[in-house]
Amino acid sequence: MAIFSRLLVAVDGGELTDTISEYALRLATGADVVEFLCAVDPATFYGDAAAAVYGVESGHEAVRKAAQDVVDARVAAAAEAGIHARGRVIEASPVEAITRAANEIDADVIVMATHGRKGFARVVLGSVSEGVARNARTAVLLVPSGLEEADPSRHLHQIFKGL
Amino acid sequence: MKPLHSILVAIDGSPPADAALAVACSLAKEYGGAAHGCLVIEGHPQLRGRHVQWMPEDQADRRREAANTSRDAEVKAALLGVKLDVAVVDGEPIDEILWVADEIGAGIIVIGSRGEPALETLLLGSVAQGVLERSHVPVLLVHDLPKE
Repeated sequence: MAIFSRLLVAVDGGELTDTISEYALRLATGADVVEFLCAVDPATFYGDAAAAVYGVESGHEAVRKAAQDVVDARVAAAAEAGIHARGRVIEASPVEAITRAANEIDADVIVMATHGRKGFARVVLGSVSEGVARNARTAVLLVPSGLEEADPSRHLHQIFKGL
Repeated sequence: MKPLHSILVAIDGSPPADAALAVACSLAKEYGGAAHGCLVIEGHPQLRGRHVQWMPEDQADRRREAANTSRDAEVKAALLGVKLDVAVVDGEPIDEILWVADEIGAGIIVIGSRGEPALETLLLGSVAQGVLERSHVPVLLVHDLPKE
C-alpha cells in the first residue's frame, strides 16, 4: 500500500531540485498522482531578479519557459523511474502557488526545500517553507540543503553533553 | 541522499504526534520494519557556574506519564507491524530530538506539526519549527492522520 497517494513536489530548478525529486520518487511508489510544480513569482519576471533566479534574461516568456523546462525535466526523470507524473507552472507567489496546487489535487503530502535558492537571504527557516508549513492541510516533507554538511554547533553540543 | 531506513519519530502523546507515528510506521514498513522514537521530558535550565545545565523533571508523575506514552507508542507501532524503540530523554526538546537523530544516523525525522491542543492557536509548534530549522536531514511534518 502506498505511503502517500497524492504528492505535490515543489521545485525551482535550483541545486536542491534533484534531491527533492529523488525523495519524492522514493515516496511515490504506488501513488495515484504525482505533480511537479514550479511556482513563478511575478516579481521575478523583469530585470536582474529574473536573471538571478532563473539564469535567463528578463521577460515573462523567458521565465515561464525556464520554469516549464524544469518541470518537464522532472516529469521525464520520473517516467524513467517508472512513475507517471505531471508538471505544472503557476504564476503566483510560491506560498500561494504551492498551497493552491496542493488543495487542487487534494495532496496528502507536499515535498519541498526547507530553504530557498542559494544567494537569496538564507533565513533561519525559509519564508516559503514556513508559509507552506503553517498553511498546508497536508503533511509536508522539508528537504534541507547541505545534507552532508558538518555542523560545528553539533560538536559543541556533544562536548557539553559529556559534562 | 540518506537512506530512509533509519526513521526517527518524535513522540509526545498529542494527536499530531499520533498521526506522525502512523506515517512513520507506514514508512518503516517499506524500509525494514523498524523505527526509532524520541520522547523528551523537558527539563529546566539552571546555571551551574559558567554552564547552563538542563535539570531533569523529577516529578514522579511526569516520568510515569512519559513511560506510559512511550509504551503506548511502541504498542501502537507493534499493532501496525513495526518494531518501535522509544528513547526517553531529558532536556530541551529540539536539541534532544536532533541529537538522537544524529546518534542513530536518522535519514528522516517525522514530527507532529504541534503539540498539545491547548496550544492549538499556534499553526506550527516551536519544537517542530526548531527541528525544521536545524535538521540536516529531511523532516516530515504531519498534521493529521493520513486520509483513507
